[in-house]
Amino acid sequence: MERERAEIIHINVTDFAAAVAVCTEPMLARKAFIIAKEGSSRPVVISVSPNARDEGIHVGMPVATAIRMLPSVTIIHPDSSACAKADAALHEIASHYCPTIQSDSGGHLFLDMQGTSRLFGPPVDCAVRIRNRIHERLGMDIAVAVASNKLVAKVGTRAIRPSGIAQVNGGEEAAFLARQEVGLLPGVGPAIGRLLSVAGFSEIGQVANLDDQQALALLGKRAIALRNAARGIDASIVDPRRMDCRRIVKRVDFAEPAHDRDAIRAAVISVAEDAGLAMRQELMACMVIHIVLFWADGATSEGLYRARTPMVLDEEVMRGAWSAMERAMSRRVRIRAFTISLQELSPARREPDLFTPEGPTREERLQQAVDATRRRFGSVALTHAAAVFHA
Amino acid sequence: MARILIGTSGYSYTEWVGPVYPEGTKPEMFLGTYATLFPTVELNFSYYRMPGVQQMHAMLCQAPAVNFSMKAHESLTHTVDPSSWRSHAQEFLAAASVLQKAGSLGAVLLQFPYSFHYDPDRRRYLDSLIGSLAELPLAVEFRNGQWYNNRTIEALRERKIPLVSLDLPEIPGSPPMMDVSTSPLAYVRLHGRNKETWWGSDAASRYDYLYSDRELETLAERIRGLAVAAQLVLVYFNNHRRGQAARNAKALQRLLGVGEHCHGT
Repeated sequence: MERERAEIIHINVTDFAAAVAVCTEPMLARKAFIIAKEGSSRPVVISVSPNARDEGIHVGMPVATAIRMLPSVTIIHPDSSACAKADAALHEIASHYCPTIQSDSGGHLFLDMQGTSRLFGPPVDCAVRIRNRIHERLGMDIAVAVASNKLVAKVGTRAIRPSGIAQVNGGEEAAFLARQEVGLLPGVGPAIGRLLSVAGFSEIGQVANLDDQQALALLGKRAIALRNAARGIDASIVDPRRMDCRRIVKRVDFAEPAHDRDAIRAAVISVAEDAGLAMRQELMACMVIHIVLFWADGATSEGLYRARTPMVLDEEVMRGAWSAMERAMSRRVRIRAFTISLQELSPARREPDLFTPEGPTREERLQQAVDATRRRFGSVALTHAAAVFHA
Repeated sequence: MARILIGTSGYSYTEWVGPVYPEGTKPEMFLGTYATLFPTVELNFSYYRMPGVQQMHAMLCQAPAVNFSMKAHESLTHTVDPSSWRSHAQEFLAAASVLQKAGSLGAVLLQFPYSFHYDPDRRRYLDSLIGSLAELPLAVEFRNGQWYNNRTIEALRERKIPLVSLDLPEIPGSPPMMDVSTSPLAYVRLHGRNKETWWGSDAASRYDYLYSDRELETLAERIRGLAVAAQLVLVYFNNHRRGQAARNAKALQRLLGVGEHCHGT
């Protein structure tokens, strides 16, 4: 349900792992350092200190590049135990002011302040206090925003990060978002970002101004969700359950019990897209997809797919969902309904695209690049490794 | 921890004789008397009348220990004439430099009205104005919410210019409450929370507001938050009607434990 008052607080610790490292070792505050896993073949930067960020180093950059840019940069191994403790401390401080807290780990918390104002005053007053208490206790200077929903509060902290406090008054959501850079909108990942950039869109307000037809033409069938987000519309709730207990569940009821494999596959793909969209709106990834089948004779069966790496994109979720469905389809009986459940959620490592824009597939793009290279440098310039071996 | 200086927007109010200044205080004694109460003042006459060099010297003589902030002249923020604003900027710069050379200038406030929209022409103008006054410590206040976006914040960070933190009534169209650190200087303006009289009334009614103790406690927390990343925090109460600004400023000083002992000339 949409609210009118600014009662949702988002707490955002920018470069959380680096901030935790400074809490553990305050001398690091003056140093340029990065958090990265040493020992892997091509390590990338997981988190950066403010001084390293000032030198142009960013998350996702290969460590080798970071060292080339700043040879004196210190590399620190990620400390998951210290990060978990810091997450718990943030939750504990927030819990003094609010009973309903969604902890997304990695220094992200949402607080639903509805009904607390008699006790603690307006939500923004609590936000100010929580920010100061976190600084006093953990030494972290963080970004906090207050808004009428999670999405706008999240854009609020992104607009002011690494630190500060902002309140977007109820009714001003779309106006606040309008002039923010489009990349701040949850759901604008690399692919959608490129698409919007090519179309000349730089501000969230430009996406918000699209009507249904324009949005569909530009971004495809899932565009309305992104357009509505750009208008500051978000009905998601603050979910206080632990991350490992949270699930995204969708159900399909067939009008007539189905047994045609193609029809079932079409239903799985459609509902997997819906579930994936809901997951990415929360900026989450999942490790497990669970399918429960309800057969026409009243029996049930289950299928499970566990991925090796977190699933974020439609393609990954659809593949996992169909794999789980195949495991569940063990009988020659018609199917009445099924549920799909995305489980073992965790924050997406990088901003996921809300949906995969329609256009050339990865393979098609690769083929186009190969063809362009051959056209420019000749057919022998680029060939399959197998062909080289044969030669 | 940053140094926190608290004062009021303006000091020359005849209605303050009695509630703030002792009975019988003459206008020419206002600044000297003010200096015994607060360590900083935001000069707002400089918005209505272009300040002169001699005038600033005289003020400095009356209150040498006071830290002055100056509101930029309206010809630079509200009634900008493309053909003449540069000469006005030079005139203003000359006057402000008197305070700066004496080490008494806190900041020059560039306060832009609601009609100053976030569009390319105005962004270019703001950049030019900041360039013209680059020798001075500047602070920027926007009344139009369009400016409260990540690109403005990043641009101010690059230039080390504070985005003024505001306390205003929560009414449609007012800018969002935003405290961000963009410079070693933080600048706070507290305008009161008169929802009913904010639009369509005279300035006296708009700023006729007394902050409650509870509201002041929250404002104190906001200022503590700004003090984390800043070296100097300047705080001005603009709810000047009937001396309420001075009363609130004193109460906030006590809450924050700052500026209790001020001495005039």
